[in-house]
Amino acid sequence: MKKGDILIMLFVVVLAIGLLVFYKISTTQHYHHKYAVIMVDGKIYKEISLEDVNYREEIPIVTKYGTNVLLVKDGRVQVIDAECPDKICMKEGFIDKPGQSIVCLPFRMVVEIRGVKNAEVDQVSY
Amino acid sequence: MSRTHRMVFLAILVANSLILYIIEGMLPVPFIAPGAKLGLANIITVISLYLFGFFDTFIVLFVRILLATFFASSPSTFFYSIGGGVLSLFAMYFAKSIGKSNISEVGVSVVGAVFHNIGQMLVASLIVQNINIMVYLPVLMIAGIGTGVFVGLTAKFVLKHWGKLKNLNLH
Repeated sequence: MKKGDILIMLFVVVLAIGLLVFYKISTTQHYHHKYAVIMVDGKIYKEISLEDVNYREEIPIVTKYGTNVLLVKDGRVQVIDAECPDKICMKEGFIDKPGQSIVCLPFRMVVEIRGVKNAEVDQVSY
Repeated sequence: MSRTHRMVFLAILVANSLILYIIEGMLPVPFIAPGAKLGLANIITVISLYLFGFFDTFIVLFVRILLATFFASSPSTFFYSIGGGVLSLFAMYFAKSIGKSNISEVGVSVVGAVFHNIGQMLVASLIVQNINIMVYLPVLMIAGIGTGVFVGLTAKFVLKHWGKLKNLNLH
């Protein structure tokens, strides 16, 4: 291994850690409303609020590519059944933080958690 | 090397990379992030890049991906493979050209692995029309260093022994 090889690897590690820190910072902000957005082909299929922890629903997502079953439970989202052969979306487990997402490439489905950010100014008094 | 020799060798490289690709599909890989895999077929791409240069490697890569789509996977994977493969080849050629003697096969292969991930992620985000899936990129980049070093070392060993083939009067 040569000097240039080490340099390339260091550069990639630094870049990856930088990106990770950036994502961490952008997802740990405080949100006062959390909801999951299900998108198929880039269009919104359904939105579900995740605020109610006791809410439980199984949502079948029927697309022209195939069917996925989504479970909303304890304020978290998880894909519990998929017709695709690789089942990568099921391996990803549950997600519950804004910015996290589950992607199903064969069915072109993205489940993303979003939040409404707290305003910078909480109250204005005169 | 005559034109026939060259063609036969390119065909052997395509066959080798195709076999590696199919074997890779049979190996169980721990789930790190979607799209993370070993990239064994990249061993042949690196070897070919060092032996035959950019254009012949492009042909080897393209034919391999085309045939792999027929043999091993569903048609939709073609676009991910071609996006990742072509971007990775350009990046490796670039790294090899500017690095010259400072970068060995290992560095070139790491660059290839990382850019393969970037290319695939770009194609995937185009297909689902959502740029946010790029959050997987950092983890894939780190995984790419591991597989890239492994692939690079393998290619290095093969290239070291390539000289012995001179006795077969191929050059």
